[in-house]
Amino acid sequence: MKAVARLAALLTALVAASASAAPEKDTDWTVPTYSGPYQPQGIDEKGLWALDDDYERVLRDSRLVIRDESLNAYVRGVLCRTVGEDRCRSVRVYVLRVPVFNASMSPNGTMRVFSGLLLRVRNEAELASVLGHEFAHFELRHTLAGFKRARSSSDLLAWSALLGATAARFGATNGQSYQDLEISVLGTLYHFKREDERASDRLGFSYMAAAGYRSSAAADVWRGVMNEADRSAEARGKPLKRYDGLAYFASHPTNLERADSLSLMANRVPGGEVDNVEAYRSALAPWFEKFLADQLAEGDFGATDYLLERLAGNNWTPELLFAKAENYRNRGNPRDLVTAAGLYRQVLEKDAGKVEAHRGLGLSLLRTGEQSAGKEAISKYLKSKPDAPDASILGTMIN
Amino acid sequence: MTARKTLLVQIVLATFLAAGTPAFANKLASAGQTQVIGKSNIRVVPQTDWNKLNAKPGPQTEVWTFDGELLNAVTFYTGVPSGKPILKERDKKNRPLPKFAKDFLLPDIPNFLERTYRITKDVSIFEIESVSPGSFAGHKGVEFRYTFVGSDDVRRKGEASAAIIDGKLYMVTYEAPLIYFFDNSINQYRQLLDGLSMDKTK
Repeated sequence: MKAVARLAALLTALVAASASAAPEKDTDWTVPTYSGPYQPQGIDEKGLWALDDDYERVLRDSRLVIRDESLNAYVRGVLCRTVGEDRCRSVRVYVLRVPVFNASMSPNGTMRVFSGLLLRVRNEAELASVLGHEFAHFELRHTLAGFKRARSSSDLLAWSALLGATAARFGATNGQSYQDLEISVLGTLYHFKREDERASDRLGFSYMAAAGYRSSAAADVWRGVMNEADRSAEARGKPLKRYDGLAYFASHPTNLERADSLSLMANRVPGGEVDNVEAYRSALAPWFEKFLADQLAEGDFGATDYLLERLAGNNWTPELLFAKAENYRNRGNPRDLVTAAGLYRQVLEKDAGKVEAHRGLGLSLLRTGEQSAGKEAISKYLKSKPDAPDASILGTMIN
Repeated sequence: MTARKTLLVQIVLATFLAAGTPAFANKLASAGQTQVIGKSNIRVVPQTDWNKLNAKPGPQTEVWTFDGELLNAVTFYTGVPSGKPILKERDKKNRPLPKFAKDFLLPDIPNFLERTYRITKDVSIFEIESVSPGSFAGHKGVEFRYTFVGSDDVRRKGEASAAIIDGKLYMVTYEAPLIYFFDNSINQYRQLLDGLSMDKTK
């Protein structure tokens, strides 16, 4: 009897799951009328906003915030184009130098955009899809009646769950670890969160459509994130689960469903074709090498290797090839050093001016025992960069 | 509960507390007296009093400080073997620490420390300012300077000296907030560094 009941429950769950995955009647992609700046209502929400204001004060003064005016103006510009000028006015954007894929929007209108996100997305449409989605969380705060009824603890948790939802790991952000909150209070909100994500995805698409951005970019981003997590696990020998040809972590069951529903929605959204690849690249250019270096220093070989492949596509620039070589040299197995040396040579063939490749080549060769070729490469580096921060120690290695 | 039983409980509690105290206590490294770093063969005679912290961030480490490790910390790494990280793993499954390898070249060490700190200290910004020849306990090595911002959002400055001796990593780092604290104790640190010696017989 028990077995029958269990089977029935399982069937019910399956039916429910297939129903939730079925396409919705999404025919109306117009952005709802903007109701103007929102103010918190009720004790719980006012308290939450006050707390959020405190967080924002800390954030505003944080050393992690990138102050570069042009980068900030660009990111803000993409958000404003996506959600429209009116809505955009209610947001303060903070670009944080944290090498993690994440962006978040908190109740009082604070948007955090992590450098790890900027490094991972390849064009304006991909960035717009993430920013629009986060903004949708913010806007839907007004309209979700059930959400308003929530008690402050679950309300706070819901937001913190959203803040942490996309983070592979949260790491340091002004000492606030939202994951801690999730761990301590999380229980039954997964379903709620998933619905919330779906609603935000929908509204996010409406913004994208209105702004003329290519809507399939949203699914591209999520597939990229899943593949990256997959490759990271693979390189570390962690177990994988494969489903429909896409691997994903058991601890992130929403990801696959998310990418699928994003794809389904993207097919139906009458979006534009705007990608603005060049504009995105030039806006990021002054920071690109720094963000890459941050990513390399994270020491996540598989994730970095995938990320570089995704950024390169069919066009391995000397910059990306150099990062790939550094990634191999960092891992430092004997075979990695041989691979790295080959890659550094390719960099120099493509661009003789990328002199850092001489340094990497020299250090790789010295570690594999090729003394004379290694010393020669280091000498070349020192000739081009006599003022390098490590010039004096490298100098001792060639004598 | 009888009075006798209560007394017994009190005695047991007091014994536990007394026994527990040394585990949390830090020790004084007195000026002018030879100090052995951890259980290693590294010795030093400090010229000022330091506090030795009992808490060890890694198996081959010892931390000395004046005002607490957040304000000034000298960390000794005494003989980290090849294949091991320099600090204790924090989240080995998801974010394993980089491992020291005996074929490291001296210029690899600053970057190795950076990769370790990004995980153990949640460092997002780490800048290496200079890497030059140095020494550790009379052995040729590398000296480097760096700044970093950790999860407490404080910018710290660091100076380190390291050497690879018999395939093991020996290193000492001095780190303190850039504002006031770094300059305040840098000379005492350098005195320690200059006084390090390695006991060959051990």
